[in-house]
Amino acid sequence: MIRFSYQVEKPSNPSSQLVPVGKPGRLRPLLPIRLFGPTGRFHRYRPAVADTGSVDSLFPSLAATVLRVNLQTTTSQSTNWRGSQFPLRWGRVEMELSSATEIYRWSAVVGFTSAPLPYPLLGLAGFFEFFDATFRGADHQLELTPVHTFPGTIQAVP
Amino acid sequence: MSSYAPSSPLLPWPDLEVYDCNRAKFTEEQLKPYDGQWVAFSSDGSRLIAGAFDLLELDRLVQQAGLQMEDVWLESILFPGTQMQPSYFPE
Repeated sequence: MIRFSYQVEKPSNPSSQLVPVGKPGRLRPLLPIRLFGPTGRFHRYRPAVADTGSVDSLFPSLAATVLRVNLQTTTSQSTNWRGSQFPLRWGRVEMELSSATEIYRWSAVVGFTSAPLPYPLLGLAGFFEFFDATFRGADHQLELTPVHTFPGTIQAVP
Repeated sequence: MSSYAPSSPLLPWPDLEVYDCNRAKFTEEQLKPYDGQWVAFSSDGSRLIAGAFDLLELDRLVQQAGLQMEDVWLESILFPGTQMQPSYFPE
């Protein structure tokens, strides 16, 4: 099991009604994640947001370019972001999470979009399909346990 | 488990507590020039390496600084009222 404390979103958004008393900003389940392309190049995002409302896991389109991800041929698919439609293409990547004791790496098909995402979105496909998730609201923590069919590698940190 | 084999060795990550501690020292005044941009921070969070409105340009700037994207953490800087710019698919 891997546990993440919610992170303060900075700079804070004053319009949020969820800023806890005494905290400098809104707490969200923001995770660090590595995204690997087929050449071994990777990006380290801190943060990506654990978003159970997103059907897919989404990354900025130019991440695919930098990491040389082989995108599936152009389709008419799009993603809706804040009321506007943006092109969406798919590519196979590897993703990696880590705690102090374990590293998880798996292969997944994720979406790349030209939508102006402020964070990568870790959604149902590509992410939550591989983990049992417990959002511990009172403790501001997200616990992730790989499902028994986890299609990747788990390695202890030396 | 599946027959999946990772494409590269699984290596320990940089210490995120150190990163967060150093990253938290950046003030809003220091970050304001990067409003709406993707920013690359050093592995220990102590240095802001570069910022750009898209990841392709940021990749170039990080390399110009003598680093690779693998050496940095990526984050967007968004102050209230700002949005990221739409990205694109290069042909």
